[in-house]
Amino acid sequence: MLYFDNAATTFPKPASVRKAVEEAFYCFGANPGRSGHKMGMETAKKVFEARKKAADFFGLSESENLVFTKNCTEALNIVLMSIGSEGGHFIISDLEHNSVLRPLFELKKLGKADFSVAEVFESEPEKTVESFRKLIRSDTKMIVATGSSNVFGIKLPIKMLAKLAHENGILFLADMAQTAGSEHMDMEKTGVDFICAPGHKGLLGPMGTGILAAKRPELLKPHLFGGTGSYSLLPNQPEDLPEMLESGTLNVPGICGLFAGIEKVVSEGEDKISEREIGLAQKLYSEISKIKNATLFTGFPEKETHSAVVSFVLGDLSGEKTAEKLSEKGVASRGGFHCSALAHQKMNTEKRGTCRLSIGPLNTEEEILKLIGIIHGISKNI
Amino acid sequence: MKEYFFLLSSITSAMKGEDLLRKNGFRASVFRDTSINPYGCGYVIKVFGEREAVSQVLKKAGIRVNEIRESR
Repeated sequence: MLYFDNAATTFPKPASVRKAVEEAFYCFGANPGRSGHKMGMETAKKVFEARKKAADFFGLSESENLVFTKNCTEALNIVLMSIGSEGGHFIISDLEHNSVLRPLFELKKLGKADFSVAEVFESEPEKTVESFRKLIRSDTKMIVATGSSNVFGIKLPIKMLAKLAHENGILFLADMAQTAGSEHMDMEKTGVDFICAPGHKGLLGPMGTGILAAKRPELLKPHLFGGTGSYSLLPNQPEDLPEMLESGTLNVPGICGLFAGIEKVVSEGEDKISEREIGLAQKLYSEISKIKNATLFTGFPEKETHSAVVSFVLGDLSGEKTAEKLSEKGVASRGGFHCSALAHQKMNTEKRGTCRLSIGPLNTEEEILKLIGIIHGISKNI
Repeated sequence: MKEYFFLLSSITSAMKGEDLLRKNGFRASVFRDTSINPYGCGYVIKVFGEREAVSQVLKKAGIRVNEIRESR
């Protein structure tokens, strides 16, 4: 199989990640923060080390403000629901995933918060920032922006948007679902208030892992209540982070795998990873653009403005059908609407959807060449 | 120099405290204790040193300590 569905989850995971997950079952098999026996404390220590590593990775000096979640969606929900439940106005981009749109839509439906959608201009960061600026209101509380569209790979100028937010006394949330692991983000230096990221994509960890990094933890509220291993005789939820937001048993094997995944990313270097990925995306894009009956939806992918995602369709086929044809030839891609209604409205792909080829850190040039051959073959037979 | 027990509720804070104290040259270790915490289920940093000096390291890092006890 040729795997090009890395925007959904990276595959395969590095050997070090698989080893760390397996090791967790043997060495860290106790419940962290619950029991005082040797393995319980060793497991808690391992989770603490993973937390420190992840916090350091995002330039977060206080490791307790790094919360492990089950995915990026959960992290986004914690922030949006915490801030939005008090009312106010949000600005999001027209490339946001449903994980941002739906919580805000729900808050709006309940009459608690409002939101506006800012237009993103591909490869024109200044124009994009201006479009956000125009939507700022006196009650705007937060700007939310994805690092890169999960459907089209168009990047947003996160650092410029964080600056815009702070100049106007507004919070900034970066959804790094597609960019964590390939684009460095230091919270201290950029002024990003919240980062939400999946553990299982660019960070190379197992599915079922996610991260919420908070520079403004005092604004967060628990969304899940229950056992934390602390203040057990009191009925109210503890206020200490991260426990306040981590009720219930943690996914220790997942966290151990994520720890190893982050170590792998750090050892390779995010810049090197993204350079290699975008190089492969450029090759793929160039070849698809030569096919007469292929439709591409973005400009040529450049490292500064695009992530390694190529969305296209062949002939009159829908995105789903294009992906199906690829699957018949042993290629894993994603067809359809990619959980992103806003992005499809923006790019006029609401009816056909797209077929998304997303390149990951473990894809090779050889795989790209094979994929190109397969796409050429399909294009000639439709 | 005496041995002190710093009582905390959060395992993460306890481990962060242990980490910091060790980096600052203190002999520190964390264990779980449910008997001495009036709210049930807490953690203790056992540390050898001057009470004030240890307290300052933890305070500077924003670590919330519920109680400090001297070892008997």
